[in-house]
This record gives sequence, C-alpha cells and structure tokens, in this order.
Amino acid sequence: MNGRVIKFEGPVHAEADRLLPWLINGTLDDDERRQVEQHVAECAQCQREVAWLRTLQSQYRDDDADADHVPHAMKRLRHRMGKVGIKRATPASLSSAWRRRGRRLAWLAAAQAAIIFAMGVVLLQDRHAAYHTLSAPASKGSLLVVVFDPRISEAQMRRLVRAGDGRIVGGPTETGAYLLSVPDEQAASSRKMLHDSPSVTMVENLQAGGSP
Amino acid sequence: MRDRHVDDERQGNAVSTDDEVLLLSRVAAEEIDAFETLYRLYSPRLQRFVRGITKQPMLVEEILDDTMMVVWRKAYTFNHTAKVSTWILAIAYRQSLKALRRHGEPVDEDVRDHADVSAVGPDDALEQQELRKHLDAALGTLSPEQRAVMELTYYFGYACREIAQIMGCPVDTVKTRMFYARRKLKTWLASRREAI
Repeated sequence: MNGRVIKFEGPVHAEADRLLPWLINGTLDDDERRQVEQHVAECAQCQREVAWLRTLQSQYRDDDADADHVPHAMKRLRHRMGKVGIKRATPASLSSAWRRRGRRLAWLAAAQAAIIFAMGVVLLQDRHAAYHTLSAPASKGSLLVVVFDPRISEAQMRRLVRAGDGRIVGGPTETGAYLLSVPDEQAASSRKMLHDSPSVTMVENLQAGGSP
Repeated sequence: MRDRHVDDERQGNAVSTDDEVLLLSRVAAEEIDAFETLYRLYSPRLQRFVRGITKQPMLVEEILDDTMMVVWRKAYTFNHTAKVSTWILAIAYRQSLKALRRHGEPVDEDVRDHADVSAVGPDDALEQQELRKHLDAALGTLSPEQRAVMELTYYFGYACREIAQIMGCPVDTVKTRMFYARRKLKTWLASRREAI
C-alpha cells in the first residue's frame, strides 16, 4: 500500500470505462483521450480491461474478404436494374441534395455565364462609382474577395458560398480569387464565416477596404 | 484513426475521399462503369461488415446486392454531410437489419440485454486465451446492433460519433451498446470456463 486511495467505481471510472474501446482504436478527441489515459494510469481494473480489449481488437484484424465475386455480382445487379428500371430523381429531391452530373455541368455553364455577366456588372459599377450622389439608392450588396483553398471540391466551395448567403459575381482571377456578392446586412457575418473556414485562404470586404 | 487508414490500404482502397465523392456523383448520373468501380471498391468492406453483423454467411450476398441497389438508386440523395463510406455503411447496416427481420432473426434487443457482470472471473490471462480461441462463437451471442458497434470500432476503426451516424442513433446509445457487448462477451467466456 502506498497510501494513495484509488477510486475504482464512480462517475470518472464509469465514463472512462465506456470510452476504452475508442481509446484502443485511437479515435478519442484530445480532451477525452487525456482524461481516459489519466484514469487508466491509476486504475488497475481499467488497465486489465485495456489489455483484454487489445486482444479483442487484434482478433478483428485477421479476416479480410475479397472482391473476386464482383463480376458475378454485377451480372446479378444488372439484371435487377433491368427489372426495376432506373428510378430517376425528381427535381424536388435534386434541389434538396445531390448535384447530379448533368446539373453540375449546367451549374458550371450557368456560373460561367454569371461570371461573364457579373464582370460586366462590376465594370459598370466601377465606372458609375464616381457619379454616386447622396440621394442615390443604397447598394444592394457587399462584395467580398475570396480565395478558396485550391484543394477543396467544387461542391465544398458551393456550400461555403451558400452558407455565407452569397453568390459568385466574378472570378476566378489569375490568382484564383472570386468576387462574392452578399447582402449588406450579412456582410460582416459572411466575411467572418468565410474567414473562420479552413477552406478559405483569404477573404476581404471590397467596399470596406476600398471605400471606407 | 489508424485502423481505418490501415484497412483502406489493406483492402486496396487507395481512393481519396474526394475521388469517392466524384465516383458517387457519376453513379448518381447513372454511369454503370462508375457503379462497378464503386462496387469493387466497397465489396470487401461491405462483405466483412455484413458478415460481422449478421453472422450468417448465407445472407451476405443478398444483403450486399440490396445495399448496392440502394446505392445505385439513391446516390443522388447523398448530401455531403457525411463521408461516402459512412453513407454506404449506414445503408448496409439498415439492409442487414432488414434482412435479419425478414429471416425471422431478433433485432433491437441489445440495450435491455443486461449481462450478469458478477459472473466475470478474475483470471485475465485465461480469459484472453479463450477470447482468441472462441471469439466467433462469443460474438454469436451478441445482438446484431452490438456486433455492428464492435465491427465499426475494432475492425473499421471509426470514432463513436461516426458510428452513431452510420447506425442512426445517439452517441450514448453507441456507448451503451458497446458497454453491454463487452459485458456479455465476458459473461459468456466466464460461463464457458465454469462449464468445463
């Protein structure tokens, strides 16, 4: 006996015990892992359990299936596809989820057209900027210059643009920057959201930076 | 996160997450070649997973086909909130439970199935030896849901939160299923030891 009281049962032990399988497979987040490891270091019961779970895990790793059956399986599935027919997506379901390939191409074409159109709009805005008067109508949106991480997918980029309630009105430039139009009242929150995203390498409010 | 990456490589899955999304988008566009590639990519994992849940080799082919048919028909509904692998394993999980019900196997009883923890003996070395020898039989005493949690944790190396996504249940339910699965395995091994 070294005088230290080790608590074998209780909330800390119970919670650590429940997390042991994920300590073993290395997927606990840092905080959880620290807490569990700290408890295991002091708890003989958990140490035995960890050893047992490692044995259990090692038994799970020796049994792989193969893909030799795929040609036969595909033959069966082609037959089933022929019988049930192809269930086509409805426009409603499409708009709520996945962009099908056709839609992707359509989106790209639309984006291209939008960019060409938007560049024209931006150019016009620039030309007319000098003629604004105090009585001129307020701007309908703020412009953000955004550079996305080049490794992200087109779908991820679109999600970010939508999450910021924006639309692409220009770009990409030679440096990969896009011009996003966002509602004035959301300019700050959109900029913050994009700024905080690991998929965005740079974001600036064009109006704020250019015309204080 | 070592297991999943190790397993992906072991099973010839050198495809990146983005590539899988692209592949699934082609399946959504009803490209049969992409579907066959996806099938080839996922077949080993799905076979393993389905066999692990059901413990019935005769059902594996049927469930695999059902799973991939759902993937083919529903690829357009993939909404990017989860990984492709999580989405497909979730389908396989549901199809496994459906097939078990169809064949009269009981499911949904694991959480209430409290094993008698007091039966667990202290002989750890012997317990581990028995586990090595008799794991398959011991796993047969678990419910399909408990086996699914075990497979996804120990073979696929998923985090608790991802397992909850695949199984469509709260994280606490995953922890509870795992807790009772472990206890049940130990109880089974202990009772076996006593019987000898």
